[in-house]
Amino acid sequence: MRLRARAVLAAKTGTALDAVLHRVPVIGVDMAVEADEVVRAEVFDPEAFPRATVTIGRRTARLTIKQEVYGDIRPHLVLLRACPVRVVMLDAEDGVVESDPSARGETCTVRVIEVGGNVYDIERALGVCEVEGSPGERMTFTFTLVGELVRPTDYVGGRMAIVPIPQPLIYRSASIVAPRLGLGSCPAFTFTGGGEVGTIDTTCDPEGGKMAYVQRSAAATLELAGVLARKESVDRVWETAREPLCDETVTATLYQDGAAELRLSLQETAIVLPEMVDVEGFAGYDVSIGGCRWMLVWEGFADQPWSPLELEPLVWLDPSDRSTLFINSAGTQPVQFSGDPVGLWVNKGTLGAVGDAAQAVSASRPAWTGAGGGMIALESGQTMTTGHVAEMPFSAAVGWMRSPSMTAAGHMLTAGGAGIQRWNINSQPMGVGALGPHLRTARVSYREGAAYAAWSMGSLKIRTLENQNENSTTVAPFTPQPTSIGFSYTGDVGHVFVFDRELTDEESTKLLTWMEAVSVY
Amino acid sequence: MSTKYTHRATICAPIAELYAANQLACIVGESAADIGTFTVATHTRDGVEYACISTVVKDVFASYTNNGLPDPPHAVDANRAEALRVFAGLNQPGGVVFELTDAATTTGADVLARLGFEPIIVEDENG
Repeated sequence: MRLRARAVLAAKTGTALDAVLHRVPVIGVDMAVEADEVVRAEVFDPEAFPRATVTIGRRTARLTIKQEVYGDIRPHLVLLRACPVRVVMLDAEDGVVESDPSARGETCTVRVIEVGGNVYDIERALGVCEVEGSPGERMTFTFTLVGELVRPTDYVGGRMAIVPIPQPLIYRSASIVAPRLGLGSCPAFTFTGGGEVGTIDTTCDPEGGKMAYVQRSAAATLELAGVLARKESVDRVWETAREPLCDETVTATLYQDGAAELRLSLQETAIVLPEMVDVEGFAGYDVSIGGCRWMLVWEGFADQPWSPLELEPLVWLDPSDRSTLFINSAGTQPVQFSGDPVGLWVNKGTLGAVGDAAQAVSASRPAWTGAGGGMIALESGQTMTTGHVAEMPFSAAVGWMRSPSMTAAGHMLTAGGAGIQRWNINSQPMGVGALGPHLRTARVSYREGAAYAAWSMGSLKIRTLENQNENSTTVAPFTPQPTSIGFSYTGDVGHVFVFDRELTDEESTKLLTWMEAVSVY
Repeated sequence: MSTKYTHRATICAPIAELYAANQLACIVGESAADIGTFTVATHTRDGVEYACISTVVKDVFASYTNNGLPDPPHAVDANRAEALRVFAGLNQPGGVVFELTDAATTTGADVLARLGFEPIIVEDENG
C-alpha cells in the first residue's frame, strides 16, 4: 500500500499564495541533530533520540524537515512547540481553528500535527505535510513551512518532535443502539470476534433500546449476533464531548435477518484527546519511531540561524555546550555525564576568560544536568564566580528553573558582597516553592533623577547618579566586583548573559525568546 | 557510562569546628582549595549555627569510614590530627554532622531539612 497524504494550506488572512511566498520570510533553523545518527530504539529512551530544535528567526525562505522512518508512521504525531506564536489550524473539514496562546495567558503553544492529515499552520505561513512510503518499509515524512511568521522583527522559537501516539491513550469505542422492538426488555448483546475486548458497558435505553459501549485495546472485529436490530438504530451516535483527532470506520456484520445478511456500519473512533497528550512536556516523548534518520533539508535560507552572539554579550555561559564545562576549575577534566560537578564554566562571550565562571572548592561546585537541554543544578551555598564583568550600565539575563526547596532570599546572579552595593537578579519575587520555567532579566543603568522600577521580569533596575537604590536610600557607590552565580539558592540555572549596555526592547525580545526556545524547562 | 559522582555528601560543621572541618575537607577533597569549604554559618539546629555543604561525590567517598582517610599530595599542609579528630567525632553530639545519600534521588535541601537544619536567610539589601 502506498500512502500519500498532502495538505496544502492557504494563508488564513486570505493573502494570495504568491504574496505569501514572496514576503520576507522569517524562519530560521537550529537543528541540534547528528545527521547520520540512526536510532533503532523500540523502548522509550529520550537520550537516544535526536532532538530537533527549530528556532524561527528571520529572513529565511523555507524550512523543510524531512525524516525517514522505518515502520508505520501513521500512528504518530508531530508536536510543534512555538513560542510565542499565534497558531492557526487549518482543517479541510472543520475549517479554521485558531489557537491564540495569549488569549489563554500562555506564552507558548504546542500544536499537534496529525501525520498525513490535519496540519496546524503558523500564522500566515504555508504548511505542507507529506507522507510517502509503505508501512513496514521506509517511509518519509516531510513537513515544510514557507512564508512569513508574525512580524519580520519578531523572533520566535519552537521545537518539533515526532512522537508516537501512546497506545494507552488511544481511545477506541464502538457505539450501537439496538431497539427494543416490542420485546418488552432490552435485548442481549453478544460481542464476538478476534481481539481483546477491554470493557463492555451496557445500558438499557428505554427510548432507543440497548446501548452498548465497547472499549477495546486491539483492532478486533466486532460482531453483534443473535440480536434483532434495525439499521437506523445504528445512526444514533454516542456523543463524545471532545474532538477526536483521528477517526476510522470499520464495518462489521452485526446480525442476520433470516437468510439475508445485513451489514450495518459500525463506527469506531480512535481518539487521542489533546488533553491526553502531555504536550507541555513533550520532550519526554522524543521517542524513536522504530528507527529513524533525520534528513534536515532547509532551502532558500538567506541568513544563518540567529545566535545570541549577534548581541555581542560580554558573558554567555551556555549550559547546553558541554565543551565549555569542566569538573575541575583548572579545566582539564571535561564534564561528561549528568551529575558531574562543574568547577569551570567557560565563557562564550566577548570578554573571554574574565567571564569564565569557576569554583575551586569541590563542595561548592554545582552539578551539571542534561535535563532541559542542559542546566546547572545549584544547591544552597554553591556558587560559581566570574571576574569583574560589567560596569554600569549593563544588562543581564538568566534562564532558570527553581526547585520547591529554594530559600526565600536566594540570588541567582549577584555582583558584590555583603556591605557592598551590588546588582543582582533576585529570585525572591517569584515566590518560594514555585515550580516552572522562569526567565529573569535585569537591565541596570544609572540615570538622572530618582526614577525607580521594581525588580520584575524584564524591568529596568535604575540607580541614580546620587547613588540611591530603588528605595531612594543613599547607598555607597556601586563597587565593581566579581560576579557570582547562585547564593542561598537551590535550583537549576540555564543560560547566563551579561551585556555592557542596556538591551533595546527588540534585542531583549530576541534574547528572551531564544532562551525560551532552546530550553525545555 | 554514567557519572562517577553517584553519592551526595551533606556535611554540617558547627561554627566552633570550622577549622578542623576544613582540614578534613581538604584531605578528602580534590585540591588544596578545599581548605576553604566551610566559611560561614548557613544553617541552625537546636540553637547552634552550622556551616553546611551538600555536594555530589564519588564512590570512594563512602569507603573512608572503613578504610580511613586518604593522604593526597595536595593536603600535605593540612592539619591531619585535627582532621582525624573531627572525623572520629562525626555525627557525635557537638560534632560534625555527616550524611551520605544517593545523588540521583536526593537534594541537599531535602537532606538538610530531614536532619533538622534550618537555613539562615540572608536578606538582600536591594530587595
